[in-house]
Amino acid sequence: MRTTNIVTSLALAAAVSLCGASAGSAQESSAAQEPLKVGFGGALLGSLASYGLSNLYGIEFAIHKANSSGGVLGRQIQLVQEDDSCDPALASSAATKISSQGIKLVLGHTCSGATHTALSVYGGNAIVVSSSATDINLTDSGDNPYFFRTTPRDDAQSSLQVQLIKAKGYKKVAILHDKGDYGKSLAELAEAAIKADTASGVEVVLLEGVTSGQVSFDAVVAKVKDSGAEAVVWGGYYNDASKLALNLRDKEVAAVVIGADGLYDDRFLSIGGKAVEGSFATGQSDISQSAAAKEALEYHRQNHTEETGTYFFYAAAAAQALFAAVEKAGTADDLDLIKKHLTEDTVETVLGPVRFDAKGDLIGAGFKLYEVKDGKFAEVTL
Amino acid sequence: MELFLNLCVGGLTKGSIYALIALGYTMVYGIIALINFAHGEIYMIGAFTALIFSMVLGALGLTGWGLLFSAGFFAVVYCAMYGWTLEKVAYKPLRGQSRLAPLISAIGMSIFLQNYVQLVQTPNFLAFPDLIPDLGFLSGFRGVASKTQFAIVAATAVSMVALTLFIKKTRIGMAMRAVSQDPTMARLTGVNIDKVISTTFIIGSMLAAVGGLLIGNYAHQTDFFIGFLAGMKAFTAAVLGGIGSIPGAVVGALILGFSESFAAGYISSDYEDVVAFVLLIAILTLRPDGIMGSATTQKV
Repeated sequence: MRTTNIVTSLALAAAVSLCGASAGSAQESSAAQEPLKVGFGGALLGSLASYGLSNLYGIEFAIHKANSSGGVLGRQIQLVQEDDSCDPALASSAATKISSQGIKLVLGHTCSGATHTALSVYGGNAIVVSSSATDINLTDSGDNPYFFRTTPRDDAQSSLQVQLIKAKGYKKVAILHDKGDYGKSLAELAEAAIKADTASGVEVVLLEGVTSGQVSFDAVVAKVKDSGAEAVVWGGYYNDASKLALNLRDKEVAAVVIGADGLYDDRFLSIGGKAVEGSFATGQSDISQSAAAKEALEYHRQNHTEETGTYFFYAAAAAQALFAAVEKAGTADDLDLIKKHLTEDTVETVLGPVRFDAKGDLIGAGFKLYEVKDGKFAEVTL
Repeated sequence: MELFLNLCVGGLTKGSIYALIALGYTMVYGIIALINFAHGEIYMIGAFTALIFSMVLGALGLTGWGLLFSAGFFAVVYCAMYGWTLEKVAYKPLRGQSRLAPLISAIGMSIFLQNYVQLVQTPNFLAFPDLIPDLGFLSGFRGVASKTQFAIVAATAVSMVALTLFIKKTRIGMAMRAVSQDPTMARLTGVNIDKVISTTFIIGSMLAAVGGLLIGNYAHQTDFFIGFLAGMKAFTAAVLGGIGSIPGAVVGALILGFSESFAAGYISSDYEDVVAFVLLIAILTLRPDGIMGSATTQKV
């Protein structure tokens, strides 16, 4: 029985590889007409699916725009989607699935942790442009020469948060995070930024990680109350942050919640209601009024009923910049040439004109500070 | 002192929620020796149905206690139907098979229900309205115990008493105890095993629905994934207290809630899960059947 099984599987394997070989040679002969495959890795399922979908919607617009004007290098773009649920373990297999198809252009991944793992799988074999991974080490470490991103980095947000704390005259600050890559690095950056600024007299009275999705944050709220903190810097996403704000108000703790772009989401307002009033969040500047952005929004509205989400424009810009660089390089295979064009040429995108620096960060992208006022985000100038 | 008091209230609230879910695990295990991993999902569905019904009934003009209790009633009934169906679909056909088969089926149902809610409802977090009316007599405890915390502890206590009376005083409760002690003998004496098992699932699901409603109110949000972490913690509580034992589940849940709260309060939130699980290991090393578990025959 066992031997027959092995024989059958060998035969099958041979048949499959034969099919693969013939398909491969067919592809080469008609490469110009074949669609250009571009990979997308990100959270399409799971609790952070809304972030991944937001990226995907932006990419869909950019592909539609490129394909309707003749494609890239004369080829239509075909998106190959793989879910990683923002889970590093799944990101590794998603990246393997993408690169095993010979895809050298990847958009994604959605979350910083998953992107770290995925990059180690792609190695030097793909240009990866993320529109939502903000961890500074992705570019600062120098390990990922072919990684680019259109979102501003985390430390851009921390310095804004510290400016806010100083402007408000808070002396005691608690820093909490959700133990995830994104949240923890935000918390550490905020701590470093506060400690570096000794002249301000701001003191970090509490620095802790809490389990995301907890039934309640009562214990840590009791500690915040005990520590006398006037502000809580939250490293993490809106769902936990609104729960934290509710628990704080429940216990009549006055500390103000200060968050980053993970809080700059309408659901933070709808879930938190009155409890998040007066909270602060750093977030992307609102560009939805520009002509390019309006066109993108119009396309999205025609095709989807869901909201665009936080990363829509960043994702569209990431795809547009990548397609433009490939077009100028005249090839989809020479990664160094594509990198050269990404870093040297300025491209017009939905975000406005963009270009990447040598490390892979976007030049010209920035954050603004928002305060929750009457159930809306209102821009604050310090 | 204030910190201690706050941590006590927080621990009691958490423990009460865990207890409501842990009872479902422990009752099912007591009757058919199955760990129903889909139980956390019933709790999640409870939160969703309470949210949906509170929206509908609120739009129909119900307010205050009427809205809370009617939304709660529908959530409980709906979850009871889910629990009953779950048993019929996923576990009954596998009765008498190897013990692993229903266990895998339970994990499968858990994944199925999560993804089903994600697809049919939403992958996003939803805002949950505050359904609990203000409680005037709590005004002296402002900043220590909120109305929702009081409601959670009170509802849990009422549910415990009702469950104990049900099991001790009713005929079907007696049948449940009989099946738990010796299924074969119970069947020989004319106990309808199918009915007992269905009742167990229904009651467990009803308690989980109460938990879902309360936690939705407390966190003001719900999503399709809340059942996972809460289910894990409740399962831990049930094992800690001695799986199969009903008072054990409550004791285990309270120990877990308090230990998490104090670990977070006096050590660091980074270690709250660590402390809770170290405690679990320590207790299981000293008492392998849990705190109140009976060290009698192994139900394999």
